[in-house]
Amino acid sequence: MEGPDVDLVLETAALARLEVDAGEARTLGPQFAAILKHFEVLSELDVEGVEPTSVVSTELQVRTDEVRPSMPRDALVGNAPDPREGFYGVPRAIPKRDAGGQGGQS
Amino acid sequence: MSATTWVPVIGLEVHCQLGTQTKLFCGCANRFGAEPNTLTCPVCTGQPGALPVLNQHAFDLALRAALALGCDIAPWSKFDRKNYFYCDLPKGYQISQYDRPYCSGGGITLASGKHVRLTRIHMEEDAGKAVHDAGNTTRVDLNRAGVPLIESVTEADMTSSEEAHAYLVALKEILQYAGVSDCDMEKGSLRCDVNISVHPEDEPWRTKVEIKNLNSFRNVSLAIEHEIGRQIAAYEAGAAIAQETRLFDPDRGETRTMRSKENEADYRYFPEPDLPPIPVDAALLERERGLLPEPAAERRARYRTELGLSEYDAGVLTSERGVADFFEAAVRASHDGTAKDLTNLITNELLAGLAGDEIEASTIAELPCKPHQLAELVALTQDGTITKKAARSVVREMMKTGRSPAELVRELGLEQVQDTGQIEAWCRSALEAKPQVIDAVRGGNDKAIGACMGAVMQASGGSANPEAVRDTLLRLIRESD
Repeated sequence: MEGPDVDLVLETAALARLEVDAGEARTLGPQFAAILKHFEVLSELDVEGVEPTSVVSTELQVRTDEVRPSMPRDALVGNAPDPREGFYGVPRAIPKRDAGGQGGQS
Repeated sequence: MSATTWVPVIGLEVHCQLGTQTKLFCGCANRFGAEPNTLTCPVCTGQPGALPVLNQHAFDLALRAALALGCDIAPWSKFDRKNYFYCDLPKGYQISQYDRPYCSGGGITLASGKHVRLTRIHMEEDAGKAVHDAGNTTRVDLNRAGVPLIESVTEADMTSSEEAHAYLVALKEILQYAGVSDCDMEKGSLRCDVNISVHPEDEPWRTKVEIKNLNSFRNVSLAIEHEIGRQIAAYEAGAAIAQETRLFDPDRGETRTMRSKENEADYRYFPEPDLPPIPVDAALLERERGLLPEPAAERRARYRTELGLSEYDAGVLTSERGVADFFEAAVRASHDGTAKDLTNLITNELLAGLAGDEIEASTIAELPCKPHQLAELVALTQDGTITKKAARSVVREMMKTGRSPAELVRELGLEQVQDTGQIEAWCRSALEAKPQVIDAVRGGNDKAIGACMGAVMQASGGSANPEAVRDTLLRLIRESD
């Protein structure tokens, strides 16, 4: 336990799968706290009776269910750091004993 | 033996891929089995600046599913971002629905009479597929990323693996009949998670465990059985059950801790700013309601009462909507009283052919032969043109080529031989070849005639009318006295 600010940094980093060591967390902690303080200022605004704005446009655009060409695979996968036989190669995502599973779907 | 009566509490979450041509928010094809990463674009791979546009048909199908399940449709709903980091989720968030799902309520009444309530159904996009190799790399295929899903969540109303199984079978049937999804578990079109806890009778519910990775109904049953046993054993040994996500291992038939999962707050849901709320107007609802088919259970009952079919036949015919539709189209094109003959051809020939290797089609609708042709074929047996046995040979050809039955009957020379002279000639040769049959029949063993009947049917290529053959053989034996 390093204090609430540093713990928040470490927890957020874990959720974002970012590697942040204790030293960095001690630097980032107060910076996090300062940024969040700005939002607290915003929260003081009285928005009683004001509809929240979550989208820019309120007119829903839809499309018909017609196939359009996908992009050439190389144009996308080729840009990735570790293309493997048409797949994106990434560092192993689960411990080895779970091999074969699909994981991930929440 | 313990004296405690343990009560399992089971709820199911079922992801179902919608049967659209394209993905939920882009025009990439929604197709299983393509080469990895060939069905992707800037939207479904999460490139900066790419914007989602809702596939209207996906929403229509979701609505139809909700109507078929008796849900209450919300006048408007919205999409939200569910944030988590995993290699199969390129945007770092999944577009889902959080506090304003498009429907709620509804449920399914099982054959046992038990009613399983639905909490809600929401729409969301599928994630990609991560394949974990033996080495230190995970390979990611994003063809599935962005495929439209509905996730239906039940109340924890089930108390056994049998009930959970019955619910899944019923859900699959309803979704298939409504034309919402092919529900093919082998392709991952239907995926199931189980929430399960056990508690002593008359005590409050205890900690629930989520089980994932259940890719067949059988595995759902096995996982539930195993998990009930594991939890009871833990409690009886004085241990606690942790709230966690477990993975079912079909090879070992057991569940094990999968990973620590985010808490709901960790997903930091917030409204999807790129998609405005989705309204539902009355006209759209009416149209989708009109497209709902007669449910399978009602069809089964009707086949028995109106067409006189057995419970077994009615069950086989309604096991898939495509089969039931084919059957009904054939019945409409036929005279009354042919339902059983049509059923026999469909279940013994068409469905058996589809299950075999010789036929390319995988569903009855894909077969080159059509329902009205099956009706024509049955009419040919009814008017005596061909035997029922010959009809089976014809339908096997029809399945391959789609050619008309009358044409095939002529070409294969299957017209029933009514020519009594020809039949008599065949019968005489058969009796000459098997004189022992004559003695046997005279000795009172009428069944012995079967050997000669077989020989005549073979000689005629199946085209001789069996009744005429039998009568002729008996007459010849009598006359030879």
